[in-house]
Amino acid sequence: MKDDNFFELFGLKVQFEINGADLTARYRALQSQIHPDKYTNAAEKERLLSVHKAALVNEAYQVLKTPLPRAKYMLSLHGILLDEQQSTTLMAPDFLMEQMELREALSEIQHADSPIKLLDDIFSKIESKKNQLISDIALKLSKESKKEYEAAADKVRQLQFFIKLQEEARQIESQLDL
Amino acid sequence: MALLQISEPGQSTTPHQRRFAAGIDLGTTNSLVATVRNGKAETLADESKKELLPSVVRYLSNGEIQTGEKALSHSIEDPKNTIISSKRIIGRSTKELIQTDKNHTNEFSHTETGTAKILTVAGEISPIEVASEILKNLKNRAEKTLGDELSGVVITVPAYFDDAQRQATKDAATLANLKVFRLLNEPTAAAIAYGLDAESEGAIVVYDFGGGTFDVSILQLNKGVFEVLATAGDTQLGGDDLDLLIANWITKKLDIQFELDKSTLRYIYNKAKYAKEKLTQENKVAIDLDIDQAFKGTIILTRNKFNEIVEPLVKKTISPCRQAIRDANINKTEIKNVVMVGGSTRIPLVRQLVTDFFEQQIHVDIDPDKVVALGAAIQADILAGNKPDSDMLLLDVNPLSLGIETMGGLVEKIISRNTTLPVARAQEFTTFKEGQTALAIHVVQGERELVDDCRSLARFELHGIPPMVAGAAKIRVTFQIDADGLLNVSARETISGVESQITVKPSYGLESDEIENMLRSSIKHAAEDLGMRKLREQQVAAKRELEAIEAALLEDADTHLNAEERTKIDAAVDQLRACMEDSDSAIIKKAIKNVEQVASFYVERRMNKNIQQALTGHNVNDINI
Repeated sequence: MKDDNFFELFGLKVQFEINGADLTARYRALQSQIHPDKYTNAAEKERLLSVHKAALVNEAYQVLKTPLPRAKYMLSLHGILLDEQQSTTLMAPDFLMEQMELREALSEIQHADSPIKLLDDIFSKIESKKNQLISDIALKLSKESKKEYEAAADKVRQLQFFIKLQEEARQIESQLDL
Repeated sequence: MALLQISEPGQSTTPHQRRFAAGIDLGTTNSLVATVRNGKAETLADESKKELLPSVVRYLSNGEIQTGEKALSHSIEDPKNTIISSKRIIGRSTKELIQTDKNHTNEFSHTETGTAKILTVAGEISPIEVASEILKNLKNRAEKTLGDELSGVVITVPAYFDDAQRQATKDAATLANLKVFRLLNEPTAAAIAYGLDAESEGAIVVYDFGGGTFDVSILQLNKGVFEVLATAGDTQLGGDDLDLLIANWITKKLDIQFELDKSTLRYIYNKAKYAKEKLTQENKVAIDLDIDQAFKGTIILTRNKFNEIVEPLVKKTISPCRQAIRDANINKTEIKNVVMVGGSTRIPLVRQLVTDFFEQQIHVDIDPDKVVALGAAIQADILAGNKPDSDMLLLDVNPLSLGIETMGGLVEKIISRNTTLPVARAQEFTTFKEGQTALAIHVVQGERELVDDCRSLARFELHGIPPMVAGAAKIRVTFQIDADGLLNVSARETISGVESQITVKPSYGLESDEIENMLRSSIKHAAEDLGMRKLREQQVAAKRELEAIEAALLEDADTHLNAEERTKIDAAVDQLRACMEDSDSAIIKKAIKNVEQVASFYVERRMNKNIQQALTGHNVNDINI
């Protein structure tokens, strides 16, 4: 077992497509073996090691279970590090235009007559864009070429924008609840 | 302590010996101890058949320390030396106590490390010492009932407790000479008590409205695995506050023109508490009062009036419920169970508001005062190793974000709220001056952007950085939070490989020499020798180490060790066994360290095998979620 590769830690091949239920089952099987609670009567060294391993398994699970960190992690394995600060300069103009329109729609919601309906529309638009991007990323990451990885990185940057937008929409939704 | 049993090499010492373990609910108002006997969890009563131990400690000038009912009965005549609701001040600074003034009847002093200490006739007392007195009382009760020493305990803490408060609770246990298997979140304990781990799946809400704290947690259950999805609450809101509202109402009603002294305030407060409890069963209550020079007579409080007075406070518990649902990222409809915990959930208005908000029936069958202790007892029994077949696994989350101070008093988050524990995150730091050999780091906990709005957890300095040009040194600092929610920090200069020394100065906890000093002074009273205690601790540690390694060798020595390796480990084990009866604790300690060192590669191999084993036979087909 190698510590430095999350996929291998979970006994998986390095690939973007992951079965969520299988991943969760593997995670629980691992934790039920190595969690510190299983080592209350063990020697001190063994307990410390179990804390260390359990922390590693937790981190790996967090990274692998969600598409965005998983994609970023895979890219990092291929030597591509994404920095959030740089991302705006590299975005295509029509993508940025689309983002601006969505943001504008979002900012007008609170004063709209039927805010719930409008918000639902925005949510479903974001969701379908996200799904499209995720399947694009999956495709590009499955092709083992530097050029495709770079293209995947572009899509990952776009995905980050939509995720941020989704968070903002959720915040607005929770304010509507009150 | 039971005599050590020496067995032949390769044979495990008494493999099926049952270990006594207990669950302790260290509550704000009352504390309890419970254990599993004949397969059933039950709370243990004291000699006068009382199960609830009031969390009250009184210090006398002659050095005597009273706990429980005895201390409570003097709370009116001697408020200054009697500490009630000490859980509210554990792990807190004097400054924080003044900010959240709750009509504390005690007086506090500042200390160098910022921890609040209580001024009593017996000197300055730390809230940790107060908690340890409660724990000692419960420990004695359990050991008397069970007829043997406790091998360890599970102590419950509010899910909302931060690192300082958890650390302080653990320190209190150390002072009481208790081994802590685990600090368990109260809501998780309650869910275990209701046996919800046996139930299939779904989200569980635990609404815990106790004497001094309110918290709400959302747990997710799946095949014996509990995950805490989210917690929210208010560590400064509880039944005590309702009492205070009623007490204020009484005072106002009596129209007293002069300032009341502390004993009269406590007297009225106790009357208010009585009225609140009566009103859970009845529609009105008569409050008899006899206050010197002010009032003698009876006033009536109806349930409707009571509801009207307390409703704003009770409603304050609903918005954390909403927040927890949001944080857990679930819909209300996914909630399958709502568990009620804490004495305040006996109040009909509380039950009504909670039922209305969650739109479903709520669990109130188990005594809301005992439910947490019962759950802790079940968990303690498992962690003691009495149920080897149990596959229950508790996964908890970090209750508050952990961060470090950066330029301009801003917080940089390192481990965010609700991250599954244990967790380890590394952060790289560098020097900003040429030849700099030390670095100061300030760790805080909280959700706010500014350091001043968060809780200061620890300040420490890294020393021994090799002198280099500015920015050349790369110092990797690892922040680890263990399963109990406690922070550990380690650091390494990655270019030179120099291990830096870290001195963690807890902002509100105890320094380890402070613990030692307290032990020293408490031992003076107990007429027990510190050396004896140290020796005994090492003997217990040695016994643990031997049991652990012998059990491991018996299980899989053949798989992992060649003859040469086995001989080496056996030699170290024999050496440890030979010196166990030694009267020098240092020799035993050295022998334990030696076993640890010689066997470390074996421990690693076993752990990796466990990981491999966990993954065999797992594919999509055998999972039916």
